[in-house]
Amino acid sequence: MSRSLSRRALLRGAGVALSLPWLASLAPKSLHAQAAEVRRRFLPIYLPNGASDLWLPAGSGSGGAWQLSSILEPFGSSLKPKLNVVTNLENGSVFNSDGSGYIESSHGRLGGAWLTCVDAAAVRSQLQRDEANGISLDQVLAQHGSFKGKTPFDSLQLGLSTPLSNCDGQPCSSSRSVSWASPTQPMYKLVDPLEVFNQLVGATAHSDPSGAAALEAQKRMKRNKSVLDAVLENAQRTRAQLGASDQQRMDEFLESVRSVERRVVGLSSSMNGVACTIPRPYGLPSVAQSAQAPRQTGPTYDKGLHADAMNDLIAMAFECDLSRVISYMLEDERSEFTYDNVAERAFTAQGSTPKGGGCPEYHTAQHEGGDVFATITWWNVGKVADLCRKLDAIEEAPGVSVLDNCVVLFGGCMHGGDHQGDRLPVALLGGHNLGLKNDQHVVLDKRPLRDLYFTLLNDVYGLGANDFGQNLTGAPATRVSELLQQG
Amino acid sequence: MHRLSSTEYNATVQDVLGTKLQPANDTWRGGELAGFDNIASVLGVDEAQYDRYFKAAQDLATEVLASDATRARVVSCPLSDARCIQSTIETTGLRLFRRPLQPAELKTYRDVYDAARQLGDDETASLTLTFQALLSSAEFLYRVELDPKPDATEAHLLGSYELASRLSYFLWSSAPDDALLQPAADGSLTQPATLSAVVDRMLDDPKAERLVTNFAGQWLGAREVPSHPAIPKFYQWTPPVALAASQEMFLYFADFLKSDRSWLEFPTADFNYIDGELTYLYGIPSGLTGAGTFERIEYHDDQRAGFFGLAGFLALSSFDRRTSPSRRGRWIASTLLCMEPPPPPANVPKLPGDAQGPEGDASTLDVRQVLEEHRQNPACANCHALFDPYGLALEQFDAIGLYRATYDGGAPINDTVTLPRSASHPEGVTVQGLSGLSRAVAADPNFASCVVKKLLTYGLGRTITAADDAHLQRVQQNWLAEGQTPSLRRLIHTLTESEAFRFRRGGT
Repeated sequence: MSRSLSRRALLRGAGVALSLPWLASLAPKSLHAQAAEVRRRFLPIYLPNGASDLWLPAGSGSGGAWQLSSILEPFGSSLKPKLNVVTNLENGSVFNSDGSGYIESSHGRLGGAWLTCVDAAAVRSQLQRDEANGISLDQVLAQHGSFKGKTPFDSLQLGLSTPLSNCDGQPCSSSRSVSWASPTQPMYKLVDPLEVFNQLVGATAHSDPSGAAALEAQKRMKRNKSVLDAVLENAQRTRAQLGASDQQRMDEFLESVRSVERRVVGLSSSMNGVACTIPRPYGLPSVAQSAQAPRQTGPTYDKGLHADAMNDLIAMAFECDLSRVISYMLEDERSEFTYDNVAERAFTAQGSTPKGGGCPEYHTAQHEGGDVFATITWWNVGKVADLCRKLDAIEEAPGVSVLDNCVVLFGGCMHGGDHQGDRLPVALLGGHNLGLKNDQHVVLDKRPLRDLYFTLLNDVYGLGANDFGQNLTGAPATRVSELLQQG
Repeated sequence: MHRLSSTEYNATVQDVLGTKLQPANDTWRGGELAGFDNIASVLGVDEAQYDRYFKAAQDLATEVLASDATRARVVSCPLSDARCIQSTIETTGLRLFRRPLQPAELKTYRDVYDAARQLGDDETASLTLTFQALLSSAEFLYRVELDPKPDATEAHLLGSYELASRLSYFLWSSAPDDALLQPAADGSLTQPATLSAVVDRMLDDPKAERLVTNFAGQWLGAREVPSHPAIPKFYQWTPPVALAASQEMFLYFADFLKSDRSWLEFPTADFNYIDGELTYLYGIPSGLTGAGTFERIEYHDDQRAGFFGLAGFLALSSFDRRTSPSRRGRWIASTLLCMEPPPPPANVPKLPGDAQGPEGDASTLDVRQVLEEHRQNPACANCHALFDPYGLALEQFDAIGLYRATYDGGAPINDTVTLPRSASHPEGVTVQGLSGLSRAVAADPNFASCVVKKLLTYGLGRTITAADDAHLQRVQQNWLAEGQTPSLRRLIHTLTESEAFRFRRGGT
């Protein structure tokens, strides 16, 4: 299916095409596609609290040799051909020299290591900071020359968490942010769809055609510039009188101001344009309106709508090429959201059937295990499947979808109710055009999670990295060749 | 540099600008550490957060100058007069930056005004843009403390404006008011007598309520009580009851802040603040009906006294379906005695009955017996002995704080325990029930030192390290000195007079 107004219009029932400035050329889309490089994308999706044991597929190998489990069933026959389930990855060797999966406090520490593969506590004590971690995989990519500056947002961080999660005794950034731009800079995610929409559209909004409106837009830019110039000038002056660690804080501030400035005074308008249409924010739920963040679905909040809106926005960001690296948290680690909107199901290894009654609070469900935990995992899988189908429906070159040009890394930091950092739930979707094999259940001999990341960095994104993360057993990072077309 | 927390940001714009807008919400970037959300080291900023600040500044500036009521607060002269622009930027800048603007700074912000005028904006619109710039500045968004010698690490005395900000964010979660900026301007704030009088005035100000909601609300968990879950079996735990139980915790703490009562009575003082909802929960006869109107009562027939008798604490330290002596005990040990037991080991087995669906049947178990079996495992026993006894002593109160004579199945409750060793009882002490426990906790030296540590963490907005031990001990000694009642108010005085509060360590 090609990008078209009608497809987008279906999205919200009230879609509207905004023509972006660089679209004025009206170049035929096929020409566009031919001229364009392959847009390599990365979309890590975080599943909090581990997965139900029923995640594990039956059989191993490729094609007919393996079947979706009852938890992974929402991927269905349409996505199974684009799926890899990777079993027996562990992240315990980041913490334990014997490579064991046991780690306390598990939510906070394993969560922090999910995309960095380092022990944040060790970095904190080394740097003598209250908050620190390694640089996360998505940020290694976003900061690399093959991504940086190619799109208005080098990366985006999104999530669905509404109540503030319990941080498990660790700095909250460990369980609320999977992306780290530097050892001391966690990237906080946006959870409000309206805010995300405004940011994305704001990045494309230097488009006004002519006349009085153009003049007004010019003035608005000048006003913004005058405000930010004053802010920057004064902050520089203050910086000179600060101690060393406060100077670092101030640099972080200055960098944030400059990033905003690039957008609000129009310095980023020279991006390569892509034909796409933007859904009107009609019906986007705002989660920021209520005084207290919703802890469950109620009259003013619906987790399902929230997830659907975020799926639309991620698809739009990729389709419009506003960003190529997006990390997305379905909830914070150790989430205590109550999924009372999700009817509990009765699970067997073969499938599931509705049972009725809402699901309890996530973290309690994880510990109870059984059907409630399986149902929440299954529901999250369903939302990821929806997103992948959207991405697969956007054709980017003949026979190549956005999903084929994207590695969706879907998984969590711990096995499940046992809190162990081994036998991690890991699935890869898409990436076929980037060199990944598909339609496999790869059962490894216990391997570190960082081996997977090392493989993605080098063999999918071509960064030529020597290493990623740490492994206290001393084993070097090695490639997971089972995943590669050119193993 | 100490970025304002969301709570502080909202309070500051409310107090300084008189606005009703509260732009900060839970989706703004925050961060908690050591139990508090005002710890500078984890309050970073990024592009998305600055974007929110930038937009909020625009909304605030526009609203303040658009409405007559708020405009009068910041503009007191005709804007057509050039000197009026200058003085308006000066006074608003002082309040927002919590110190006077330097001449070069004044020019920077004045330039914003002039640039807007050149674009054809009228006076009000130009001043709006100037206010937007002030509200978007680091000097507003952060509490900045200067290091005259950036490379030196020895402590130096804070400037009087910096001290005023420390005081106001500690006691009010907000900026200094004009009355506090005055002794900062003339330098008298650094004099002990003035400082003491200022602290008294601030504690008597209604804004000190924020110390209760933000300090006690986080330390004692009162903020979390309204959303604490209980299974339907505990049908009495309705949203209004949970809210009232939370209010009661605030009021109980505030009673200690407002009176000269000794803090050491916090575990034992026999009074409650009840409204109609809590009357019903506690079964206390009173004429009160409905929610929200609280009355202080001393009622001695309800088997409960002191902090441990409060429903909010008893529920918060339980699971949704049953009491957990381990959880309650650990809560008391870590929250009130500042003792952090090590984390549990791998593969902790579940208690039987916990995995049986939302209703469970664990409430009919003799939890004490189950725990004792669990403690047959020596790996578990050593650790649990450090906190379980505190919780076991409170077993006569169920998972929402109702008094019970026996477990649901009729099994008797044994609430006689031997507490872990402490400085006051090197051999451990055997106590029974709530009254025995509360007296023992009050007598434990860790109980007094713990509040000092928590208050200092919150007051300074940073984690306390071994380097602070000497400060902590000095504050504690002064506070507990003979012949003086160790009230919470006196502790706040002692703390604000201490070196830790009035000095700044370079490089922090």
